[in-house]
Amino acid sequence: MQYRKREVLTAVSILVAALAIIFYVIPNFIDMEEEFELASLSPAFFPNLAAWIIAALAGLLAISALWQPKKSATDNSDEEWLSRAEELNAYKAALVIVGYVLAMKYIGFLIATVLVLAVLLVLQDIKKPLHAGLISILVTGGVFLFFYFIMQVHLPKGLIFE
Amino acid sequence: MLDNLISGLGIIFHWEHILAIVVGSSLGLVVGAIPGLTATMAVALILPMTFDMDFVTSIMLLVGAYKGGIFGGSITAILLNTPGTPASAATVLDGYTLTKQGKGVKALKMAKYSSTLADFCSDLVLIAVAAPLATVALKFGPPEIAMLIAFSLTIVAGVAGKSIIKGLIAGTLGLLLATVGLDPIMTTRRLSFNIVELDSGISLIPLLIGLFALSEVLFQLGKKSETYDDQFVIKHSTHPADNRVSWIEFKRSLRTIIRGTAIGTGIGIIPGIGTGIASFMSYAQAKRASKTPEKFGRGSLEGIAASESGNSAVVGATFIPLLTMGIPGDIITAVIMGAFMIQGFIPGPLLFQDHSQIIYAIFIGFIICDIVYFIIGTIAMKYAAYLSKVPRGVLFPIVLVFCVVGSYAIQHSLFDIGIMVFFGIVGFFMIKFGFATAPLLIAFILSPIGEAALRQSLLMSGGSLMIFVTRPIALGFLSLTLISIFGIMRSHRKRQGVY
Amino acid sequence: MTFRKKGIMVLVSAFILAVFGLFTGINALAADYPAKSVTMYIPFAAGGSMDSSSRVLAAGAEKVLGQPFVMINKTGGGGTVALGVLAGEKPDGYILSAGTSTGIFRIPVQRKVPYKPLADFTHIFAYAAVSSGVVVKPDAPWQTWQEFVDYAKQNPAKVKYSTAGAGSPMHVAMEVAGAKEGIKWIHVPYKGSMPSLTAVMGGHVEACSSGPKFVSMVQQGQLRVLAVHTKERMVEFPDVPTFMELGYNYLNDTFFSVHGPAGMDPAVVKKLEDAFAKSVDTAEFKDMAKKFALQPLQIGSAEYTKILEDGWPKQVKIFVDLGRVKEAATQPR
Repeated sequence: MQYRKREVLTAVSILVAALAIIFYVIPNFIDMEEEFELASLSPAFFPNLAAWIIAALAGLLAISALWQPKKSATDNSDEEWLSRAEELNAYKAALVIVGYVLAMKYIGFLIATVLVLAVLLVLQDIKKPLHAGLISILVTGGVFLFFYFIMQVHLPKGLIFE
Repeated sequence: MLDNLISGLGIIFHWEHILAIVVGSSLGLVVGAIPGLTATMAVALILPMTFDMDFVTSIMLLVGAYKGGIFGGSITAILLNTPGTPASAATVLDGYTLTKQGKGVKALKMAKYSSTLADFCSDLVLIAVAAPLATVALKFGPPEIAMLIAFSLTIVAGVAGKSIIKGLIAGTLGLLLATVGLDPIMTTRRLSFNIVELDSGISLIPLLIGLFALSEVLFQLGKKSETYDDQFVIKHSTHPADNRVSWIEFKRSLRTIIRGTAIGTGIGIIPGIGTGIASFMSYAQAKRASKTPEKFGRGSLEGIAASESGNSAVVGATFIPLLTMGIPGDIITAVIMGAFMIQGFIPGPLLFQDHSQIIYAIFIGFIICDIVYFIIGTIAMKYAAYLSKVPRGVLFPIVLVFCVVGSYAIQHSLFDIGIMVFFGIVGFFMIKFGFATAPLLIAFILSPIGEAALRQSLLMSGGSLMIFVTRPIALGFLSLTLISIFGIMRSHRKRQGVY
Repeated sequence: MTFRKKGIMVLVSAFILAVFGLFTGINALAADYPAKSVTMYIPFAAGGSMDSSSRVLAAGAEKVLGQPFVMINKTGGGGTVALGVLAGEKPDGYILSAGTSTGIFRIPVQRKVPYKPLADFTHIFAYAAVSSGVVVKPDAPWQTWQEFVDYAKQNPAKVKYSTAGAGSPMHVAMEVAGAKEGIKWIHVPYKGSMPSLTAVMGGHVEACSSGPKFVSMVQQGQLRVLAVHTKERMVEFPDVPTFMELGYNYLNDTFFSVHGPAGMDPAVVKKLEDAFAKSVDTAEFKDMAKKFALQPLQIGSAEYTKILEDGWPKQVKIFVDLGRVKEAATQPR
């Protein structure tokens, strides 16, 4: 029952998003100056086509979810996924990662990476913070040196240092 | 041709060239094997170092890195679910499952055998028929390519996972995402929200890394380890059968490997199609022809053989349009073409006439590369086994760092890192809700080529769709597409079950 | 882990931390330019003509200036991403970018870019010009440009030509010629030079208006060139007329150049001009230019800036006349 609800909800949200793309995003975010004799030659053709197909498929998905009898016992996809607590963990990690990337722009690769590794390792229950710190520094340093000297890539320095 | 080959042998067997092969292959393998880093990056970064080198040395360094990188990408695809190149994305479908079953080494060995065999055969084709095949390839104009892409898109159904509708949605989403950027024909800005970085479209490698690698990182960072053993994602089995590929298993997959080699070679020869698709097409065809299609996606050795032979065979073959017509199949071959031109070797039919000995020397070098990376691969695999001792809590944060660096390095772009993170989160939710990620990737790679070809065809025909029917090769692929769609619908009706 | 292992790890980490200190951006005090390495962005991908030519140029300039150039590929947006980043950098002479005139007065006219093409940069030096022209298959029935034009006039909407992309000088040239001669021909854009050339070789289009890659192919006999878009007749093809000669008042003014952020010290600019000029004179540069069919130039800052400023209104007029835009998409200042 829960499965069915979730499926229908997913399908409907996709449908709504697709329609939003067709009626709002595409008309406003494609710079078109000229008119086209043939619709298929227009830059908006493909995006529109894709969005319409998605909308139609989403509709199909909703219908098939409603039509389906209760989920059969052989479908074990939920077992391979995360529990609620684990999923929350994943979201926490995602937030940390986003923060890492944003921070890198300002404080540079070296500091940001050392910090993020330390934070993540601690979150992952690495018992001793000293270990976490050492691994952070060694990995960050190793990566930086490899890229700087061997691959000739200059990782971001950070805006506050320029 | 024979005397050219013999002179070529004489040219290639100099210590600097062999060293270049070994160094290139090792570097490529190591870089490719690190999750988040790609063969593309390795080749693009090695190029400037080759400017002062002798021609054959520089080419061998780059090609070695290319071949080694593809194989390295397969290693990380199998062990960590994070493909090193688009080419290895099909290998994760079965490889990772096998690793979780403790059969990682078996999967790696099958990958190694399939790759080397396919690569070797495709290199032989390259040596034998490069120049004559070029004239055939010239016949492939926009209508032919458009129909070929249509046919290729039908393979999306083969990798859609459990729910075909969801797989199709994922694929169409890939189509939509590919339109972000400048329109290929009119160069109008599409869906790029005036962000200049998006003018060239969403970068493929960050998307790949995010969708496949980062999504897995997020998953793993969420997971709590129940028991001590649970910490180790890469399971190592001590059962000897799990750590090798028996002759029977190999024989069973031989037909798949041959098919994959043929498909990969065919795709490589066609100019402008791209190499990322070869492994998927081989995989989808293998699944269709297999006696045990339901095993695909659940740890089928045949699946690995299919994907690996496809992605290796395409490498040798893609040099045919590159050298005879100067059309690169993907970024890596574009870089290598640049290396040719910088040294004064302009691609074209005269390249074979004026410099045949050197060209054949390079082709022989390709074969030596195959042997070298087979050896290095075997050595590398021994170290890969140590990965099983690293707990997930340490392994995946490190993988994260490499994902970030790998996305940044190609264009020195922080924006690309952002793309990677974005698609990592997208991928995470896609998997959560049961959407396969492979269709998105396939459609994303194919769509720009297909859309451009379609519109060029319509420009050529003045808007008439008849152009796809009057030209024989195009008609051929159109028919194949229709047959393919029909076949999918029929096999689906047989299957019933969840849509 | 054992005490010794721990100790070693601590020492190595401390060492690495110390090295970090050197790298987190402690700037050397600039006594005399250049006192440290100069960074140059390359707006196009590795292996291409801009990537190769800028690297060779920098290698030659290094010898004159005595400091290394650090070349960084910052691709994207057809070259506009690197310029956009450059516009926001400090004009101390240590950050430069290679670029093309297309990025300054062609692309910004057609679409909005995140920099003011004429105001945000010090245009330092133009080091190469690209050649382009119209080619057909070697067995095509037209021996001269005039024959081709006559055929197109008699067969309206039948003649197809390929280019490497819409809005490029090669495309504009054909449209200008078509407008002057009253011809309607069909433009089939491809992505990149080589695909557009193979399209004409494979007979999918009748002609190609192409960038530099056609030179070697014509010399190898794979194509025939009917007209060129350069300012003067090309040395390689002395019998082929230029578009200017044919009365079309259009030439391909794509230059490869080096830019810096606005407000650079004129003394620094002069040093860079001299270094680049000497680099263009070297055998290595000339050799590279030959391989990529580029024409070496030595146009200094003042002259180049004038070319760009005079060129801006011309380009706006061209694109408005062609109907591609109603007005310039980006403000130049």
